[in-house]
Amino acid sequence: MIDKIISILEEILERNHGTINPEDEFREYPEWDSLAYLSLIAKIDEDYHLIIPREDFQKIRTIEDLANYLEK
Amino acid sequence: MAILKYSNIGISGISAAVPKEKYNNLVPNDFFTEEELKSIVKKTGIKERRVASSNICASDLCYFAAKQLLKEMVIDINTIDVLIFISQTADYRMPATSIILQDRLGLPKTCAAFDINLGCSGYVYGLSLAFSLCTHNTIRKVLLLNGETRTKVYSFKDKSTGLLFGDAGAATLIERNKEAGESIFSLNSDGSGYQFIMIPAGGYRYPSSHESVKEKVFDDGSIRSDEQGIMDGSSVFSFAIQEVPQDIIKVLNESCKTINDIDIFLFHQCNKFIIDHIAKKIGIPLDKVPYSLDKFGNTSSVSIPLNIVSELYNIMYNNKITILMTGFGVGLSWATGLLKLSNPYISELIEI
Repeated sequence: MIDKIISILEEILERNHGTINPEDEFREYPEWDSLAYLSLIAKIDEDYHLIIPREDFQKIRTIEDLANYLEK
Repeated sequence: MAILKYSNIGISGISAAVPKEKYNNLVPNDFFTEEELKSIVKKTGIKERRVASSNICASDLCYFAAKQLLKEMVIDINTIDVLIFISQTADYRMPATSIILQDRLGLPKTCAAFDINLGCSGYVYGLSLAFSLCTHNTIRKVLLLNGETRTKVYSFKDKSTGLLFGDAGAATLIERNKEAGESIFSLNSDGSGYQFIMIPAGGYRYPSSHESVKEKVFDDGSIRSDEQGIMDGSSVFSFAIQEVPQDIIKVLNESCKTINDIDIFLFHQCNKFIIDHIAKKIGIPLDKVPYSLDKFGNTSSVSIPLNIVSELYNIMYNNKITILMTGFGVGLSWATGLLKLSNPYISELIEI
């Protein structure tokens, strides 16, 4: 799960492989913006058939948090 | 549940008018860098918009669209029994703009005229209401006008909305028609999201004042006053990808049709990223989804008829097609309609 999320984020943020770690707070990346948010929500909807409510998303800080949320 | 079904009522003509002046979203300015513009345009698909000058109102665009349509179709204006004007950029807070247009278009005093305050869902809501009125034998023709000058609503220095909106007006003529067959509409609302897209000041909850017209700088660097529109893009996006696919499927199921039975899907032209996502999510082939937002931006309730005039003008001549249209946004409000376009008259796009 975590590897899949990392590869999704690498693609959305156009970051090189290996520059994203599970404990990173993804909002801190300079490439993170509202368009990246939309892309991530859309990709999760596409792959997991789940639209993460905004209030839930706000509580997710790290990539690990996101993976745990999706696993639930 | 607001599901409405009609028989043998249809659209007999459509026209649209846009301002001549084009605004190129890719030209850097003091507020957006070249890189920002490229990244936003890539996502939204909106390259160019039409901007009305200070003396052109939504009603003017509708007036020219209606005038041309009625003239080209050689319509006896005395047979227009209802005029509906749908806009959130009306001429005045009172009276209703539709009534001014009744006189300006020379329609008879026996014509009912009223405004509807709806945005992106307004075309589908308006069509459904027009169809409903046409079920009465005494109503011969309904003239539906959708007009918006949204570039006057939003700040060009707003990171979320500054590059999205365009101005346009459209006229649609609705009447009984044996060729039209069955049609179905689904109308919905969710006021819990009213703050997602709104103009906070200038109404009676927060009247205009020195404070309301002051420009403020926000966390994301956007600059706007409370008299200008705001949009919470991420909440609107979640709403759209949640509700719109469900509504489309509901309408298809109610009419016992599948995606294969639909020739053209007309989405409210809000943002290419959202439309592509919704289409992909429910398996709509993208070659059935025409776009005109690259040329006109988001024109709110005008975007569906403008898309028909802009993109279906050449294929509609002597043709019958089944279309599904869906409008969604401010309110929150959303509506979907499935109907047949049976050789309607489509006027060439007017530039004012």
